[in-house]
Amino acid sequence: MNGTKLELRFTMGTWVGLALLATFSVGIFCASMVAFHPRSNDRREYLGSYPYGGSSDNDGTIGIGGTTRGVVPRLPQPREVSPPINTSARDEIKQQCGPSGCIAPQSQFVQVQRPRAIPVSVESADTWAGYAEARSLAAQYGAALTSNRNGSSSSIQCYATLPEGRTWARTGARQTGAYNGMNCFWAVAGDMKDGLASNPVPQNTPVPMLPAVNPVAPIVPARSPSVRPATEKGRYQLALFLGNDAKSQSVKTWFDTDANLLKLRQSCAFEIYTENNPLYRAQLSRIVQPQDFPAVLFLDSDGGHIYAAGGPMLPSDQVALLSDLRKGYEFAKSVQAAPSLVSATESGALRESSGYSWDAYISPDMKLQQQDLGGDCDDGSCDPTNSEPWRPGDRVRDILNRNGESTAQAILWANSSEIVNAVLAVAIVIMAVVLIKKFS
Amino acid sequence: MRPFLLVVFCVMSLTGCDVDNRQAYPLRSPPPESPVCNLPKALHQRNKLGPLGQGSCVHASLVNHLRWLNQSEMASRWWATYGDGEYASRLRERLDAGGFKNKYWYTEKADPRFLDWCTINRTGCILWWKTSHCCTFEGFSMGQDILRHDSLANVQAGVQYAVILDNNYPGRFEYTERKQFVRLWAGYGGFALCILDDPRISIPYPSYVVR
Repeated sequence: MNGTKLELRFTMGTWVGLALLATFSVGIFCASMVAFHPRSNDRREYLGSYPYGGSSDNDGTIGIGGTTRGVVPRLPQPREVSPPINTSARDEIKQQCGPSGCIAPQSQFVQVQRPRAIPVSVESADTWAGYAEARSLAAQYGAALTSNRNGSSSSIQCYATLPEGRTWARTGARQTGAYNGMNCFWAVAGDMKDGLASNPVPQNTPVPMLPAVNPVAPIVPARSPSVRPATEKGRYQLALFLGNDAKSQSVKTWFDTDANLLKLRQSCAFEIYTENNPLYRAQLSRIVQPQDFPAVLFLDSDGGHIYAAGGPMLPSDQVALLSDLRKGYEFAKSVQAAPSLVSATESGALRESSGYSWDAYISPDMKLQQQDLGGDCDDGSCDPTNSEPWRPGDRVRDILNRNGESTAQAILWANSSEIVNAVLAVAIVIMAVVLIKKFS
Repeated sequence: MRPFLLVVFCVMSLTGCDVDNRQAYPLRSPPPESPVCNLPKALHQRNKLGPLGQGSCVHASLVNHLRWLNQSEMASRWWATYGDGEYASRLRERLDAGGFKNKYWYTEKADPRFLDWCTINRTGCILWWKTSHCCTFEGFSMGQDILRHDSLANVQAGVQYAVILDNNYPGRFEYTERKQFVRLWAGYGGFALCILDDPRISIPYPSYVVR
């Protein structure tokens, strides 16, 4: 009996010792892993406490390892600068037609460019195009309108000159551009309107069209070009496929009246398709068949399936539909976040009998599309872990693919739970060996 | 007997309970659609001569743009209402009158960020492209994505291209390298206009599988 008691105490001591050993091993392992894998916040300290450190900013002015102190960082610059604009082309009328050719333009706008037959017998400058307007503007500005005939009745040069001491606002010159040709008064009038004196136009050069003769009054822009709508990348997509039946009308009413569904609709890119919709017929009819109408399709921003239900599998009321949409959303998010930890059944979100599985209800065509991707990695950035089920070792490849995110190296990449499991397994095996030897 | 029991105990310690074998795994997303605004060829609007004998490229481009935004009825009405040449200010005036006031935005500065926005949001836009001409911008696409759908395209993998639908040549897309495109666009006037509306939904794909 005494021997047995001693043996029991010794066994307990072995247990305690092994437990301590396992705890110590886990502690050592975790400490070493932390040392090998500094967190992202810690990395900044390695960069000399400089908040701008990083591979993308390291353009020579910003170094690594504390060498950047005292260096003024450059401001971020646009990667692409807009080239100079051809304003004449911007404001001209766009009227090109097909390769079969166009009938000559006949708009009032272009007619002023067409040479007009000026009766030779008429010597008055009033007959020249734009003369009346130019004269009126010259009087308004207090400028002298000058025109010189060069012998031929179809040749004339004209310009407007301000009194001594005054200049045109835009150019600082006294005289507007000296224009040649029968449309010169139009051009001078345009210059005066803009307070602009442009350079003289060479002979035979077409007169700029728009400034003076645009027949349409300037329009106040509906939205300033400088105001950009918010970028909507990442918006979820919601599509209804509706027919003419009562159930389709009910579904539409749900999304029009139910506050929660309306809120969801407004936060997503929302579209309604019918059987006669041209886009549906051309590109979506093979995905959702007309016999499955009404159908609800909820996708992420790239088109990834989150929820799909149609026909008899569609919930009977808006509350159930919202609940299913929410479950589908949560399930898809959890799959993306931790694929190896999501149990399809435990989540409660996946019920194939109710049509929440992609394969169960949606056309197999899309699955074929997915299968086409096998080995199709033109850009060399394919991630093998996403196309296959998770396997031990996949994490290693996954992390190694993150080029540039971290420069830290390690012998083994594993998370804490994997390390603990491994250490416990080793400890249990050792314990088993010890116990077997003791009892045998 | 005791060694045997100990072995059984150790094996049981290392064995977990398999509650459910079926688990969900994410699937890789397919390559992006090319062009980003992939208006079906059957819906490409061909240019026409208007009552004044001018080409209606601006209106044809806008019709293509509206069709991609799932506004086929509005596109039909616009095409039935307007023809002939068009310039930017009158186009905006007509859009305002047609119910699009505050529902579009535009640039006159050949700002590539405008086109990037249209690509990210998959809306596309219309823009001044080619001499006295207007086309529909269908987004920027990478060369390898273009080749996946159009193996005969004269593009290179790894290079970004602007995809253009010319209403004089419906049924095909034209590709211009990005930098060259922006430079030429500025030369053609640098104007672009985008209707603010949701485009056609992305082509769905299964994002996860349950095994």
